[in-house]
Amino acid sequence: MWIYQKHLQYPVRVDRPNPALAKVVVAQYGGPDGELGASLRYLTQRYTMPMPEARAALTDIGTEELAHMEIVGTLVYNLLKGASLEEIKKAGMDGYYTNHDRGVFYVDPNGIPWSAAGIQCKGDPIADLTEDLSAEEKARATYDYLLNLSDDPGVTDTLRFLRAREVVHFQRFGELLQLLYDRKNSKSVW
Amino acid sequence: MERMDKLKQVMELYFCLLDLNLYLDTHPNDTKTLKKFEAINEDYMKVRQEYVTEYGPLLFTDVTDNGKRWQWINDPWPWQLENY
Repeated sequence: MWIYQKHLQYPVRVDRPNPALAKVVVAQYGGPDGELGASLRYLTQRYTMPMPEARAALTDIGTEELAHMEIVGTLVYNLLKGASLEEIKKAGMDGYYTNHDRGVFYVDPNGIPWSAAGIQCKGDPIADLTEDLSAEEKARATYDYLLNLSDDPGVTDTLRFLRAREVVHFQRFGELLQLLYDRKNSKSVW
Repeated sequence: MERMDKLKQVMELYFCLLDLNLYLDTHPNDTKTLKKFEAINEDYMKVRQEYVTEYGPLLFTDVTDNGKRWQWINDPWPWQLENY
């Protein structure tokens, strides 16, 4: 089960309405390498994980990704809040506006809705952990591109934090994969 | 703004615990880190209780109800940045 804590994992500051920035930041909400996909991937891969370390880490990282989804949702919400229709049109967000007004929805910057087709649970721990390593790097690269695009210092600060977390998760998944190989190659099998 | 300052103290300590938790998931026998976790957890429990007493629940099980009204529904929610 889960419990909700009434605070963000990291503070969010947004200096002004900025639909152009919202348009790209939403990539980490509903895009293929975003936080929703990350969370759902880890939380469903954990059932068939053979090691206690991996069952714990997938549960905990999957949970942290939900908290990151909330941070990105908070960014998008505050970047769209108070934006005029003129600004929305100028930013090319009129298509988004037509479907969602200033609501926060699981789409990528081009309006393509999130899909489970972008994630996998193979039931094979080596395949799954290797996918997780790749997923963290894809998310890290996406944050790099968003940092290149951000013109809001508050948003940039939050994006830097989220980027750093991908690096930590990559490290943990690397340790799990190494542990898995070590135990697989040892005489005592789980 | 005082409320946000206090909440940031809670968030900072909780983040330390969360990151140590991930580390301990892959290093469960690191007793030095276990001790660090326990020490930070003590600070965290103290600071979060101070926040809850002053400003309201962080979990719905935090009893701050004065017996008259359910406090959990009160703003701000985390995304309402201007309401802190």
